[in-house]
Amino acid sequence: MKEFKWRGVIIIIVTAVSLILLLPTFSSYLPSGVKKLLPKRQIKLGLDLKGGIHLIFNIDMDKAMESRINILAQEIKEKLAEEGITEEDIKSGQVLKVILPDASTQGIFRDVINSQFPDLEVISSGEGGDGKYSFELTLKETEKKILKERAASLALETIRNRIDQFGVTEPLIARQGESEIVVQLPGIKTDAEKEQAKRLIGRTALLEFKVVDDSLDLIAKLADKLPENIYLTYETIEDKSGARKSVSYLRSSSISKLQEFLNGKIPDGYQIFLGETFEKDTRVRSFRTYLIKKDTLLTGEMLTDARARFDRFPPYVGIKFNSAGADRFFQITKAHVGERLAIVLDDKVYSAPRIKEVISGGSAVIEGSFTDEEAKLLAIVLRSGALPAPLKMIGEISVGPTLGKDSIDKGLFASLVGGLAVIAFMLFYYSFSGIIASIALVLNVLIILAIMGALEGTLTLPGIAGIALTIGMAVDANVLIFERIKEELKVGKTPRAAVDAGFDKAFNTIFDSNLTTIVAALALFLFGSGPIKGFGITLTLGLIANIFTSVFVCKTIYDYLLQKRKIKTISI
Amino acid sequence: MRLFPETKIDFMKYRNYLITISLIVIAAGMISLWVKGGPKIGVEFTGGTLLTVQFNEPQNFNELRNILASSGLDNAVIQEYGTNGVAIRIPEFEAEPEGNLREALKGKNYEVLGVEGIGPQVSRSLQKKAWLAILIANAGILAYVGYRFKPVWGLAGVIALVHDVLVTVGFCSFFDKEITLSVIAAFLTLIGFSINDTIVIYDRMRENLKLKKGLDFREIVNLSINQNLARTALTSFTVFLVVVALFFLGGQVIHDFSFVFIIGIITGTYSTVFIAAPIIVSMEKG
Repeated sequence: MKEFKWRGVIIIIVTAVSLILLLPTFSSYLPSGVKKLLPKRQIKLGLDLKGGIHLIFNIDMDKAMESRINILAQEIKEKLAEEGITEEDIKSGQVLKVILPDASTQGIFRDVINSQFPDLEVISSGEGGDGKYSFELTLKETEKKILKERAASLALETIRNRIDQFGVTEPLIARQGESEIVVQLPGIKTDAEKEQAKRLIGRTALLEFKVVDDSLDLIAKLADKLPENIYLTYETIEDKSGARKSVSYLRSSSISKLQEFLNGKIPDGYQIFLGETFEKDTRVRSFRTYLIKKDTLLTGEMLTDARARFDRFPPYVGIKFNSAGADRFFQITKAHVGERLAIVLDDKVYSAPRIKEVISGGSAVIEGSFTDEEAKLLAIVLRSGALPAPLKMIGEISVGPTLGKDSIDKGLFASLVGGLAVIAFMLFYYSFSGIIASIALVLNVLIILAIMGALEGTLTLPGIAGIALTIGMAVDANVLIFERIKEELKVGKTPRAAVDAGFDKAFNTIFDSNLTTIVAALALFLFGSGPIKGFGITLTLGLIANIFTSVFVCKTIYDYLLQKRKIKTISI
Repeated sequence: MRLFPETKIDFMKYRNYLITISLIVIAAGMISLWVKGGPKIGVEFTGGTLLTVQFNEPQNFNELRNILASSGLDNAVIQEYGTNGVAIRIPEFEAEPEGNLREALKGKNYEVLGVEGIGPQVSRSLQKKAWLAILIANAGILAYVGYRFKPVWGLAGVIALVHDVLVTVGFCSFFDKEITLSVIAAFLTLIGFSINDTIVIYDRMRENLKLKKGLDFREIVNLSINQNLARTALTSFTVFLVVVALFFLGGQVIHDFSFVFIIGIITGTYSTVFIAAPIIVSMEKG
């Protein structure tokens, strides 16, 4: 009898703990005094139930590598100069290519690389035949790994910063695989919010300051061969000495046409960047070219603050540099007085004001035809820093609030109807024993939800379906036991002996069948994605709980009735 | 209550007929797949964009198609979705599909219910994961059943599972159901359900092998199935109740899931008796 008491205590404890763990999920119905006493963790609803967006981004690791190699190329150039070698050509990309004009200097080059650039390795080298010697270098595997790791964690942090500042409730930002980042924003409902969020996250926000070259008359030379839809336009600016002068640029409504036309026509050391322009009378949006010197003078890395300002129209963004940045800015403005300084953000020129005088104090403004919202978003991305490499959105799943509500309402209703139908059938078929089975069922569902709450699990629509199915499958255990008990009663055993034998014999079967189904459910949980995972979780939990409720709980109830209440027959 | 009298049906006698029926059903399914040019596969595995849009009045599909075509969405495929709703599927992945849609549906009263935009990288990884989940589930089942019973029994169980999946894939093709993520989940659940059913019989067979030493193997199998007939019917019926409730009341999103599972319950129950058991009988003899 002592053992029996313990079993009762275990069941009561499990039930009580489950109730306590589940309560926080329904905390909105509770008085606040009670809330404080309860655990904080509760079941979360999946995006499919509460609505929101799920975005998958890919970090362009090739670009991250290219920019690293680019920096190394500059450093190699400097080091070679120190050694008195001038390379004939140095090209960076995924692979760094260096051509030395004199093959005899290759030993020195190797020494420089080995001693000062431990991140690089030579992948091929050889004589060009004309006395030249060429090398191909790339980052070492370990270095690539570190670079990717760093890029991913930096991107993650930057996105987290941006979203925090944007103010979305309960965001989830996580890394997936080597180069993917998943962002879940349950709070996002409308189309407009969605678009803003995508832009906020996906923008590289690489801010660069470069000098416009107005002395080179490159554009005018191209003027006679212009294809359709590209126009030569003139503007009047002041040159270094303050004299007015007319310079030309190209204008088109198509970015790709401009890029295609200019491809290969730009001399070394220069770049063409595009900016937006509005035609004065028609206000039609088009794109224009800026001929810009390649060297980046200053980047957004030295920013300390960026704020949207609305004191004049259109709104603009005011930025502030830290002291090193302010000093650099001062030097730049001093060296380039009278020239135009292009403010380039993600390869697009926002404005290119003329440096009228030396600027100290380290603040500047970014102007453009911003709306209020755009100015605010730009300030956020500048404040939270640039991404280490461009992000590309590769997947999106969004669920509107209407569909989410419809799913949760219908899913819960269908599960409830299914569950009640099962209970009604059990009561009908097994009469009194059906009540015991139903108690076990309800306890089973309670345990599933409690564990979900304790683990802060996510309940998805397939998850609800999983619970409904668990109800169906859990009944199987009871059916197995009850049918066995019937068989034992038929061969003339007493109720007590029949119950003992029925449970005993059914146990093996229940254990085996539940465990094999758990194998399938675990596969769903481990390899499934999104909502499928939720299904795997509830099914696995349900099957585990099932062994406890159908066998342990039901047997205890029977024992109580047969031994304590001394009932003589069982209705089954 | 007792609805099922004690039975002594010789199930194994009919096994050849029933295996033939199974083969016919599977063949019909495969022919349907062949005629329709392969299974219909959801956007999550092919990549592309799926927009579900709710209108507040019935739409003329031809008109809608023309409107979409004129705003650059000329390869969009339109399907009915619920009442007055449409699912618009575009083969390419678009980062901001609502922009085009807004342009196209100007002047109409609608609400975007959901967007699924899946780039090629994501669809590849989802495909891989789905296959992996199915393989792992089957391998795990094979190993566990082989270990607890006999390797041959495990093999027979997995053959029964393959049978269930083939039959269900065929039915999906008959009824033009798309293979989506939730349909894959349904497949895995039906695998779980079917093996559960098989193991219950296996357990009885193992027990009867010990208890009734005089019977030959075929008789053992028949006896085990007969003894468990009530349980098989009751369990399948209760699970059926739940799934039918999900099918009719659960809303659009779990509709296909429940459809697959309804087929799965029938074939899962059937395959235990008429696929797994006969295979074991043939193998234990030889």
